[in-house]
Amino acid sequence: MNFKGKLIDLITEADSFEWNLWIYSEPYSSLAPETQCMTINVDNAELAADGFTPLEVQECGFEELISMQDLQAVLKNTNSQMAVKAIDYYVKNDAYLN
Amino acid sequence: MSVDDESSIRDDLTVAKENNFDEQRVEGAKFLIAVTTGIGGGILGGKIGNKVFDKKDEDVGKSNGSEGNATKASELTVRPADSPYYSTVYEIKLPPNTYPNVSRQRHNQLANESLHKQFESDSTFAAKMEVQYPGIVDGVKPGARGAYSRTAPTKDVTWHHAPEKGQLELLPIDHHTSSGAVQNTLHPEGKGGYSDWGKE
Repeated sequence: MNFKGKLIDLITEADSFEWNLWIYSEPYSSLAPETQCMTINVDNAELAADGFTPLEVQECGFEELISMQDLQAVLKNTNSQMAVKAIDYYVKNDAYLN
Repeated sequence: MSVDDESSIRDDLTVAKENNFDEQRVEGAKFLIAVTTGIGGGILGGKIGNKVFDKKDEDVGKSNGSEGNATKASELTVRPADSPYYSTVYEIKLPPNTYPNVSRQRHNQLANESLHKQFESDSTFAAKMEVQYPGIVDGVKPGARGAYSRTAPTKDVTWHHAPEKGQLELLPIDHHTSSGAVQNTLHPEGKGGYSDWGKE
């Protein structure tokens, strides 16, 4: 199942996704619940001319955010009120928010 | 420790020893260490082996470990939940031209390639790993397009960016996500390796 929509909705449904997806987001200055995201199985995705970026991601102008495996781990280590902040912290610091 | 806990560990060890695992105790923490053929020679500097990381005030992340691998037998994890230690299943040193500012996806591909080549050169190691982490051998094989997967080999493990530059370690996912003291061993001062040497 692929997802395209707000980060907050992705968070809500995170447990229902396969662990081996990657999540891309629109460029952002501050990650927010409304940040637009999409999930893709990058190992099977059609690729852009660079041979690496998924074509759909390139067409949307999105950027690599976090793997679904990491997202699900982050959400296990935080509560729902802190979810967006914890994801942002993980992306920036490669660690879980205490 | 309750009698039930002791029984669980004994049962676990029985399974482990049948699969050529040895027990190792490190300052009260207990791990199951697979008997391996030793240091591997992966294309990317891959290394079979377990490093049981020890958290000390001035010595975070230093290996005190011995050769071997893995930390689980059957489905039971014997690592105490509050342990500051974690174990690695496999580790590689990334080539210097693959950091900083190379994506995590690319790092996963390089690590999976190394592990795949290690499996191909050491079928005994591959078989043991498959027992511990079902699907791991297929999980690191190149896909239909010839590319290596951009994810971890299976949902039960993860590639961890260690504090040392270029070092990726394959960990049981439950060690990586465990709360408590181990987080300061894995991510000293709340920062992981990718945020240090992985980015400019």
